[in-house]
Amino acid sequence: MSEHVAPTWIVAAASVQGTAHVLNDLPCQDASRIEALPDGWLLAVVSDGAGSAIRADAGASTACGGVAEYVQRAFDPSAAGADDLERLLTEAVGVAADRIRAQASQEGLAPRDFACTLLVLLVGPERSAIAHIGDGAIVARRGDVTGVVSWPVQGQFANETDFLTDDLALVRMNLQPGLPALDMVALFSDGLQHLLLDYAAKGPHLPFFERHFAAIAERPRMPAELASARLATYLASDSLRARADDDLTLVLAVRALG
Amino acid sequence: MFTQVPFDPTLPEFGGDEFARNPESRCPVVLLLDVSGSMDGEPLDQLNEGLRTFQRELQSDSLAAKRVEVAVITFGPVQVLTDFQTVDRFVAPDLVAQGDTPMGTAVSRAMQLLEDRKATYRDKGVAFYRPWIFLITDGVPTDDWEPVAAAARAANDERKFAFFAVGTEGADFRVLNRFTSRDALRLRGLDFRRLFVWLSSSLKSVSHSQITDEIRLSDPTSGPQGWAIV
Repeated sequence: MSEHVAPTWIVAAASVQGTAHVLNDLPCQDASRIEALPDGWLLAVVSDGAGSAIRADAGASTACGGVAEYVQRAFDPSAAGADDLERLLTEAVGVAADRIRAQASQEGLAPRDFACTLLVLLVGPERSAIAHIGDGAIVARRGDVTGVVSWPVQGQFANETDFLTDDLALVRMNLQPGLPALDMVALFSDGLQHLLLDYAAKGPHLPFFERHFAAIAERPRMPAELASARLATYLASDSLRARADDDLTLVLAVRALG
Repeated sequence: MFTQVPFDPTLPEFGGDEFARNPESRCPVVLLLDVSGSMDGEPLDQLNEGLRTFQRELQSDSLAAKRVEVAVITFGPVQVLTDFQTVDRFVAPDLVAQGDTPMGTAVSRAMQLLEDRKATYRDKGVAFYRPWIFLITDGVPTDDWEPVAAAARAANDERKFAFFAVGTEGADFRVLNRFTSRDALRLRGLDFRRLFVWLSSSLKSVSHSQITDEIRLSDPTSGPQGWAIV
């Protein structure tokens, strides 16, 4: 195939517990995974456990782990057309849902006790794909255009959304297997969507993404763990605490050529 | 959970206050109040006092004050006393008894007002919680209420809004139960104050809830907060 050196990704990912969760004695119910795949592909997964589900934290981490481990095992960069990615993501999400069901029955609980949302992004040198259930959002930059790739799926009302554990989750899932390659991506949980999406303009809040994409694009050699720790410090800062009391998760990835 | 990272020029600078300024999510509630002649005197005095408690309770909660939107409709005749406004601007009306009990028309007006409000929310990109219609009456409808009751019940079952019916002594509970599949509640004496304390604390819980939370309301028929008998 192509001769060029596979592009790599500069990444930072963090989840912090919301103040409302601290007050109500709830654990952080968000989880994320980010994995480098062969030939310059990247996988990013975010899951947000429902505040009302008693094992939501386990649901979110099982969901992220289930998707990540399946994709790492089954992904083949030489078979990464839209049809292949559609099948891969559908299977990966199905595996994650099955794992949650198995865990629920092991613990004598119902799957909805593990209710969580799911955001999955696969991005490679020439194309990308997403799968999304529930709220949270994916924003990306391609060339000089930044846009919302996937909006929060909202129910009829503000406190309702879809979950991976719903019977119709895979039917209602927003699956887009044929997207073009993306240069910079951000995945975030619903605690941030009110701050990072502009609902009236129906687009991303550009100043935030310009600043934060640039922040990591300028540091191609930064160690991901340290950058992630710094991102966590930012997410836990007073500036964000004053505006959002939910758990917050943000994954940022920027393609570095060369 | 996270560790403090000392300043390091090789690490990215996150920060700044570059956030979108979206309007707060809204939690609309319609108070549908019977002010027919039979409410004159003590019942209406207690109801007015209850409304003032409602205003005070909700205004003391900064988030609820920005998110809960109240409209007040009285009957009869059916009158929109105040259209939807957030609680920080809400002033409890001083109700005066008059007229008969056109409950059907009043409920129909409430449903229309809600539909209009939802259209405005959608147009402005404002997220909203499931609306509430809270009907308080002491009597029997004097208009053609049955088709409206069926429509309200169907909409309540489709979860378009939550319909609560509260009757005082003299109300026809068989009629009230036709408006909603939720049991109509019988007010204990004229304890409107406690009713409105319950209503405001329930609305506070809703307005504080996360996008994905399910709210469990406290039981109005038991405990020290109880104001209703089934």
